Amino acid sequence: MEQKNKFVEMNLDELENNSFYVIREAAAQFKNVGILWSMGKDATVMLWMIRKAFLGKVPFKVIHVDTGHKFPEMYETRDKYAKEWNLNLDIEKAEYVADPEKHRERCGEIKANAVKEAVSKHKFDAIFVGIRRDEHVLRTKERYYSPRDKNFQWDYQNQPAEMWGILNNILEEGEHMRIHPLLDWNELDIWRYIKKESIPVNSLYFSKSGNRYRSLGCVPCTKPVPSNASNVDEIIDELKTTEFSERSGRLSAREQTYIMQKLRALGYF
Amino acid sequence: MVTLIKMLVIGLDGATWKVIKDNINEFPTIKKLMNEGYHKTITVRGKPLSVPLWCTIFSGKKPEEHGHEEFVVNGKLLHRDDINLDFIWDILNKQGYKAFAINIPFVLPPYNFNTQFDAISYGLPETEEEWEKELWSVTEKAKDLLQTKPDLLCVVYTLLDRVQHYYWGSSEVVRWYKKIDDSIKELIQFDNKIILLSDHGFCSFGEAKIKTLKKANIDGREVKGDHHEEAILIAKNINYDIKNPEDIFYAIMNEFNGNKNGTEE
Repeated sequence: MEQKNKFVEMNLDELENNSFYVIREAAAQFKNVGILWSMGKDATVMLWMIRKAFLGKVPFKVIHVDTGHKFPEMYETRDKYAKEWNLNLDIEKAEYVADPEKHRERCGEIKANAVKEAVSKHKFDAIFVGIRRDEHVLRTKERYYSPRDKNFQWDYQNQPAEMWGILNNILEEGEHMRIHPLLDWNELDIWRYIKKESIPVNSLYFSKSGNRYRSLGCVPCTKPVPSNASNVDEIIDELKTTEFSERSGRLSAREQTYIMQKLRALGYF
Repeated sequence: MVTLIKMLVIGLDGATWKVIKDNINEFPTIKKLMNEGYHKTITVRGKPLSVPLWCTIFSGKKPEEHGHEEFVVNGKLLHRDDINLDFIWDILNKQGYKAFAINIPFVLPPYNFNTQFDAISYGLPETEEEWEKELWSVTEKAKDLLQTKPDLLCVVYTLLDRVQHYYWGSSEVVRWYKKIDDSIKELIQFDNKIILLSDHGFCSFGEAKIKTLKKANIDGREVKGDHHEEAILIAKNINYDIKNPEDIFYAIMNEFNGNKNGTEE
């Protein structure tokens, strides 16, 4: 039987142009913009495009939320390219929970608190975040501009309309905007773009001993998936037929909380 | 040398003879399978709980041997890796067989092997809309995998358990069994060796020896049914006398390897 291609291959130039538009609009519309850089492939592609959109210079502060649990390879990537790309990098130290299991249970909350701290400290009115709609069902309702209120809550039923390419930058007091230039990209687009642009990515994405990471987070929260793809071309081939979702190695703290709450409501414990 | 044997195991969480036998003419696919193979009641010796029983059914280890009883232990949601068991698909896969599992509810979200499947509502579908979605998505996923001619496909529908908790004693239960019957019809056309089973049966809430849910549930809905010890089994072209839940594992292993212990050669 012929294998189904799980992704629709988009035109990379079109995707890139659209992302450039979102990036430049945000730069023009907001006063103080930051970039969240996790050193994962999506955030690195976003950073690359911001650099490209502004002719080789990143004109915003770059924030790395450091939980103390990242892979050594991620810290190496951060330090190497912060220097090489002359980034204005600020490392936001998150609460350190030494026990990996306890960290895993609270990772989402720990990172959210650190982002709150960074937004408040730097008085950001907008931050670039490299999320994609296809990553997870919880992200499908995000927009290019998704406001967060003063408590960092997201009211997805009350977001500004985005019609005819018009991006609405109106913020209520205490709110900030999440800017999502990669929203329309899928995982395969990201890897095709990495290949096209020769973007450096973390070695953890490439297969060693039959496993590789498809999605990177903290060490306790991320697991490798079975794969023999050891270079970018092989990853692209693999993605065309894979049956596994990108985040199959991760169950987010939010998802775990949801399941636990539901079990409790049902009376399971 | 691996011999090609195709086998389909369909699990219906909570399915009971009480509903099936009283309304057998409403379920033509189940009736046909009963006529083509053998069927019996499997009586669960311990507590009729889904988590330990699905583990037992697919690992061959009795609940007291594997010890996995709950979704949550010490406030922590358990994952597949927390359960130190080799399941039938793990063993057959290592032997070179193409084995898949979809939506097996011994952990949450339910476990999948060798494939990706996003369980509806993380394996806890509670509304009619979610039950419809589970029915459709599990069936379509299973059909996709059956097209690839697997050696073994294990698939579980969880919705009957939820329907019976809320609608036990009403015609709604029969309506959902009919929908399940239609879905099974779509799957069995692909295969010849078939096991159709439940992990436990069902009865009225008051009659149940153990209470798995609170009487008043999410949104204040009243729970009307709960688990019973008598589960169903229908086996077509299966050369093994299944008497207990753990025998399902051995019946599958027997079809592939002809040995009972399931160890690798």
